[in-house]
Amino acid sequence: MGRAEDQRGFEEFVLARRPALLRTAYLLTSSHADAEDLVQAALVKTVPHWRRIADRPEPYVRQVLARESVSRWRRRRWRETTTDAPPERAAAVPDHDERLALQQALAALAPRQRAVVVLRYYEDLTEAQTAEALGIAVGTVKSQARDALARLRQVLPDLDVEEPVTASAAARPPR
Amino acid sequence: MSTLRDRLAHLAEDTPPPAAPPADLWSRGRSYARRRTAATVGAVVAAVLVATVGTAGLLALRPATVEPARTEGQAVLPDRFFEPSGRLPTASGATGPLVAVVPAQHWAWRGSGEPGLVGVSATDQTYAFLDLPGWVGAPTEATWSLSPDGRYVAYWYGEEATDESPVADGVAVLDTSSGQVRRHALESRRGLLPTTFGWVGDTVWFQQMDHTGANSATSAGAWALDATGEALRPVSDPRLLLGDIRGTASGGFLTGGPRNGWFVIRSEADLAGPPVTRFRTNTIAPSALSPDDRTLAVTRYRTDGLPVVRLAAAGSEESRVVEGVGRFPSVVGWLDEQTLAVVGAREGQRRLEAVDVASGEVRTLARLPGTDNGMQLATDLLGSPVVRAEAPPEPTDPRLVAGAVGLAVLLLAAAGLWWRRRRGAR
Repeated sequence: MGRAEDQRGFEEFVLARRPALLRTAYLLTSSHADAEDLVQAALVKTVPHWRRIADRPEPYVRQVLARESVSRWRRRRWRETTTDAPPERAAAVPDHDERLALQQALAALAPRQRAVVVLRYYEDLTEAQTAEALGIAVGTVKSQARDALARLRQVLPDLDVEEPVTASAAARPPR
Repeated sequence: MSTLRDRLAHLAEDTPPPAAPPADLWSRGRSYARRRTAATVGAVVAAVLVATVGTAGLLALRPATVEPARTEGQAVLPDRFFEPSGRLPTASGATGPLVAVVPAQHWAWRGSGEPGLVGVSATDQTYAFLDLPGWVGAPTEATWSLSPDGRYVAYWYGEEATDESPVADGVAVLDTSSGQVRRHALESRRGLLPTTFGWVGDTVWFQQMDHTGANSATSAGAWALDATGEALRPVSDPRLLLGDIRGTASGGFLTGGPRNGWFVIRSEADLAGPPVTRFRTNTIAPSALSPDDRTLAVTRYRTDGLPVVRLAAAGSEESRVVEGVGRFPSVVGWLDEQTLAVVGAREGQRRLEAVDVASGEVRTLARLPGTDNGMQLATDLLGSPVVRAEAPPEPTDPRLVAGAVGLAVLLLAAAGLWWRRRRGAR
C-alpha cells in the first residue's frame, strides 16, 4: 500500500466518521470548539499509525480521542479556571432543560469519569474495551463508572441507568 | 423516563452539522509523525547518555584501589615520568619500593587542592598519592625525602601550617613495604622548623631546629632515626653539619661545613671528622659523590656544563663536563664510578640522562614532566633496567561527572514526562 493510497483511505475515513467522532468529542468536552480541536488532534495523531490500523481504524481513533480528552483536561486545569456559567448551546428544543441538566452533570464529573460514562453508555463499549481505550484497569473502569453514576444521580435523580453491554460492542452499528 | 444512553444520544445530537474537515489533516499528521520520531530518537539518545555517563560516573566515583606491589618484581626505571593527575587514588597499604616521588596537588571531592606526594612504583609503575598523615606540606621545601633504595619516605608532620613557615611536631617515616607510618614526636616549645634529611642505609639523619620566633629557629640537636624500628637516637653534631645536607654519597650523604668543607656522613664519627675536600660553591644545590669517593659532581645553575671535582688529585681539581650535557644540568646521583645521572633540558624536553664524565657520552634514561616539580628519584634504583613507561590514569573530575549525570537524569526525566504525556494523549 503506497502513501497516496494511505492518504486516500484516511481522508475517506475522516469524511465518513468525523461527524460521529465530533458527537463523542462533544460529550467528552461539553464544547463544540473543544470537540472540533479534540477530533482534529486525534486524527492527526492517528496518521503515523494509519497503515497499521487502516483495516479497522475506529477503535484506535476512539482510544486516542478518549485519552486525549483526559490529558488535555490535565494540561488545561492549571491554566484555566472553572466557571459556573452555563455551557454554550441554547437550541430551542423541547427537552432543552433535560439536556442542559445532563450537560452540567457531565461537566461536573472528573474527565476520566466522564470518559468512562461516554464510552460505556454512549459508545456501548464493554468494560474491557473501555479499559483498553483509556489505558486503565478494568477494575478502575468499574469504580470510575460507579462513582460517576452516583454523582450523576445526585444531580439527575430521575436518571435511569440500564445495564450497558458486557459483551463486545462490535456487533452494534456505529453511531 | 429515558435511559442514560438515550439522554447521552440526545445530547450528542446537539452537535451541529460539521463543516468540511481541514484539508491538511494528513500533512499535519505526517509532521507530527516526524516530530514524534525525532523526539523518540532524542529520548533514546538521552537514555544512552545517562547510561554512559552514569556508568562512567560510577567508575570515577568508585574509590579506586591500588594493586599491591609485586613484591617479587624487579625494580625498573620507566623511560618516562608523567605529570600525575591530582585525582589519582591514594595508596592504601604497601606499595612496594618507589622509583620516584612527585609532588602534586591532591584534589579532593570538594574544595581546593592540597599539597600531596605521588609515589611511582619501582615494580609496576603505578602512580598513587602516598598516605602521609600530618605531612606539613610545602612540597618544594625540604619537608620530605625518599630514601635511596625507594623503600622509605621520611617527612615532617605537624599541625596544618597557617603561614609560609611550616611548623612541625616531629618526624614520620612511611615504610612502603608495609604501608605503615611511624611517627616520632620531638619536644619543642614553639614547634619545629622542617630541615633536610640525609640517609645512611635505613637510617635517616636530620637536625632539629626549634622555632624561636615567627621567622627564626635555633638548632636543638641532631637525630638518627632507624626507619625499621622505633629508635630515635640523638647524635652529636658539633659543627652543625646536618644543617647543610647537600647530596648523596655511596652508603651515606654529603654535607657542607665550615670553610667550604665537604663532608661524607656514614656514621656519627663523620660528624666530627675532617672534610673530604674543600670546594667553594655559591649556592646549595644537588651534589653527588661517586661510589669510589673520588669524584664530586656539583650542580651550578648555569648553562655551560657540569662541574666535577676530582678528589683524588693533589688538592681538589675542578673540571667541567661540557660535552653532551644538556642545558641547566642538575646532579641526581652516580650510576657507577664513571657515569653520572643528570637532569637537564634537551630539545625542549627535560630528561634524566646518564653522562659518562670521561667521554661525555650521554644516554637518555627517562623523559620528565616539562616543569621541575621537585620530583625525587630513588638514586640506588637509577641503574635498574629501563622499561617503556605506562601512563598513569587521568581520572575525570567527579564534580563534572556528577553534573553530567544530573543533567542527563534531568533530560531523561523530561523525556519520560514527555513520553507519558504522549502516551496519555494517544
